[in-house]
Order: sequence, then structure tokens, then C-alpha cells
Amino acid sequence: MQKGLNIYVYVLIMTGITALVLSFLYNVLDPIQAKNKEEAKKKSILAALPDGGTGLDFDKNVKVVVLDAKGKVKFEQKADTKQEESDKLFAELNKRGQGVKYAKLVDIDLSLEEKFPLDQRIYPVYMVEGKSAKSTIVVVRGNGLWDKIWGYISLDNKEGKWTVSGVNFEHKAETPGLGAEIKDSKDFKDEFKGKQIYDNGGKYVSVAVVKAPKNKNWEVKSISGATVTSVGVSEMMIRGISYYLPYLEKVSGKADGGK
Amino acid sequence: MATDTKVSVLGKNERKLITDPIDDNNPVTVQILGVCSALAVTSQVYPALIMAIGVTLVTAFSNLVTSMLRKSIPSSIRMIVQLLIVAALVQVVEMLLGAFAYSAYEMLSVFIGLIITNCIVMGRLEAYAMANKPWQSFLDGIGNGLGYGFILIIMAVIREISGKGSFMGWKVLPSWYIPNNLMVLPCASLFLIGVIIWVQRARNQKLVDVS
Repeated sequence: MQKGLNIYVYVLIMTGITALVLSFLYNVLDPIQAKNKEEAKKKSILAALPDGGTGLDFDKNVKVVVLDAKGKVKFEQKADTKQEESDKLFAELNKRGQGVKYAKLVDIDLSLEEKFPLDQRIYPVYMVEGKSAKSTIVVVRGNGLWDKIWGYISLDNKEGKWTVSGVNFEHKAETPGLGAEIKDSKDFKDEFKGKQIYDNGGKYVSVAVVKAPKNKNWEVKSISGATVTSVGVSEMMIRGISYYLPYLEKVSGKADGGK
Repeated sequence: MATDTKVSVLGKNERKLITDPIDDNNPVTVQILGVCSALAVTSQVYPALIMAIGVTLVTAFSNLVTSMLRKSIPSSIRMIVQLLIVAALVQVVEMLLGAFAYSAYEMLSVFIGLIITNCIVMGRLEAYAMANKPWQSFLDGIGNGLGYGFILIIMAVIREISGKGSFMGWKVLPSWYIPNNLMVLPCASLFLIGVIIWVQRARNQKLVDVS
């Protein structure tokens, strides 16, 4: 009995010390990591641009537009948007519960939106005004082989035709050298450049990832050895961009009307 | 214990602790431990390198901590205590990387779980750290981590060059070389590790008797 008690005391002390050390480190290091995470996200969004977003500052060059589940503009950040206006948006969004608490526009993330039913979700659009070009970056999210994959798709409105000018994919747990190539392989991402999301008849087709691409304008080659992830990217491109279609069509329609 | 009488920081025995696991007593090719992760992360050099560093850090420090506590750990729950130490260390490594080396953290975070389940870590705690002094145990951990990393990197270099024609992401083979996609697939690592074991045994006759 005495020996048994010692073991319990030993386990308690060991667990206590470990918990103390870990929680202390967590408190010190977590804010640094959260900041790194935000910076990494900003960089990842800008990386969708054709030139990789070099020399751009997210806070200065990017304006965020928030769409509701139907693709209508819910909130639009402008140069003179005041803090109170975005705070009002966050108050409304945070009311939906599920532990989602937004405090900044860059916090809005599809990984959190996934917690809500489809008709309550919102979708962020990043409007980039660089030195030379204007780009619209949309976010897509889907499933890879092991876990979630997501991507930022930079779209340019070329004479009323939405054309992909660059993509940047991210993943949570795809296999390095195989599925992770969607993020690591520049060749794979470069293939998306110049692809269109509408066919010649004006029907939405998005960009498909297939084994043997036949149609240069709408298909890219999949990654060998990573079939499931490639199919996931393909599905994500079709479904993910479709949420933005009402908005994209409104913008391109306007552009035509203005001429 | 013979080593107790001799106090030496990096004597002959200590050097052997580091060099032995690289060849004669390699954890992957001789003890056949940690093969699962050796097969999984070797299609490219960079992740293999990060994984090797992570495992080396965890084996070294878990060996050190376990060895310092070895006299107080009750034998009936020693595995649980070892697991606690390993899990806590992996968590510490993960948090430090997240705060100070975010890009490496993003590459590594998937494999952190694999480090906890790596048989080499627990194997060294049981086989060495529970019976030896802290400094020797620390060196033993580094040696085994390096031995594991050595095999990982050999495999990754062969697989990345033959399977992708590149090294650390840079194209090294001329464009007429058509990359052999089979080498990138998981099954290639299985026969590659077999070939490495074969070559090692043909060269090092000492190992033939071990099997």
C-alpha cells in the first residue's frame, strides 16, 4: 500500500511539473506564434499574385470585401473605412457563436466559417492594388488526402473574362514530395496561370486538375503519386470559386457596361 | 559500472556513443527501428533533414532527462513516465519552432506526432538512458538521432534526384533526364532501404553475425 501511494505521488508531481512548464512556455510563446501565423497568412495571400506579391504590404495594398452566403457584398473596406464600421460587422458575425471571434478583417477564415451552416457563411475577397495591376484574390478550401487543403486564387478581369493570374495552395498534412507538392512545386502552381474559369460559351467550368490535360485553357496536369490530393484540388477549384460567382459576374458585368 | 570511475567529457567511449549508431549499430538499418517514418518522409531532402534534426533533439533531451530521473522512477510505471517526458519535449520543440522558426514549424508540424511514436526514442530510453549517466545518455541520444538522420538523408538524396531530378528543390539533372516517378512513390523507399541494408552488410562483415 505504501509503495502504491508513492507511485501516485510520483505521477502527480511529474504531471504537475510538466503541466507547469508547458503552460508557462505556452503563455510566453503563443502570442509570438499567433503573430507569426497572421504574417504567414498575409504573405500566403499575396503569394497568389503572379509576381509572388513582392514589395507589397498587406495592410496598405489590400482591401477586404466580405461576401455573404449568396455572394452579395456584405462589407467593403475602403480607404476611409472607420474602425467602428468593421467593429459593427464583427459584432454581427461573432453573434453566430461556435467560439468564432473576429477582431480584424484578416482574421476572417474559411476554416472558421466551416463551423456554420452554408447559408450563414461569409467569404472574404482580397482586392489587391499593386503598383501596376489590380487583382482579385478569392479563397477556396477543400479536402486533401489526410486533412484540409486551401488556396488563394488571384483572378484578373481581362475584357470581361475572368482569368487566373496566379494561385497559392496550402495544406495541413499532405505527404511531403507527393500531395504537399501542391504547395511546394512552383511548376504545378505556374500551370494555373492564364487558365480561364468560364468556357467559350460563358458557362462556369473552373480549372480542372486531370491526368492528361487536353484543353489548354481549362485543365492542368495532376501530380503523379498524389491522385487523391489532385482530385481534391480539382473539386476545391470548382466548388470554391462557385461561391464567388455572383460577385465576379457583377464586377465583370459592370466593367463591360462602363465601356 | 566501469565508466563511472573515469570522468571524461569526450573520451574514446563517448565518441563511440556517437559514431556507433551511425554505422555498426544504426537504429534504422541494423536495429530496424523507426522504419515507418524513414519510409514516409524521404521523398525529398528538405523534410528529411528537418525530421532528422527534430528526432535528434528529442532523443538527446529525453535521454538526458530520463537518465537524470532514472533512480527515482518507479519501475512499474517507467514507461508512462518516459512517455510523459517524450511528449512534453516534443511539445516544447513544437512551441519553440512555432515562435522562432515559423517556416520550419509549418514543415515539421505534421511530423511532430511521428516523433512521439518513433520507436527509436522509446527504445533508447529503455535500452540506454535508464541504466547510464546523463552525459553519456545525452551523447547516445545524439548518436542515434544522427544515425537515423544519416539513413534518412541518403534515401532522400537518392529518391529526390532519381525521382524528381532535383536536390533540395533545385534542378540538378539535365532536361533530357525523365524523372522516374516510381522513386517518389512510397513503395520505392521500401526496396531502397532493403538495398541500403544489403550494401551495408556486404561492406561491414561485423553485421552479418548480428542477424
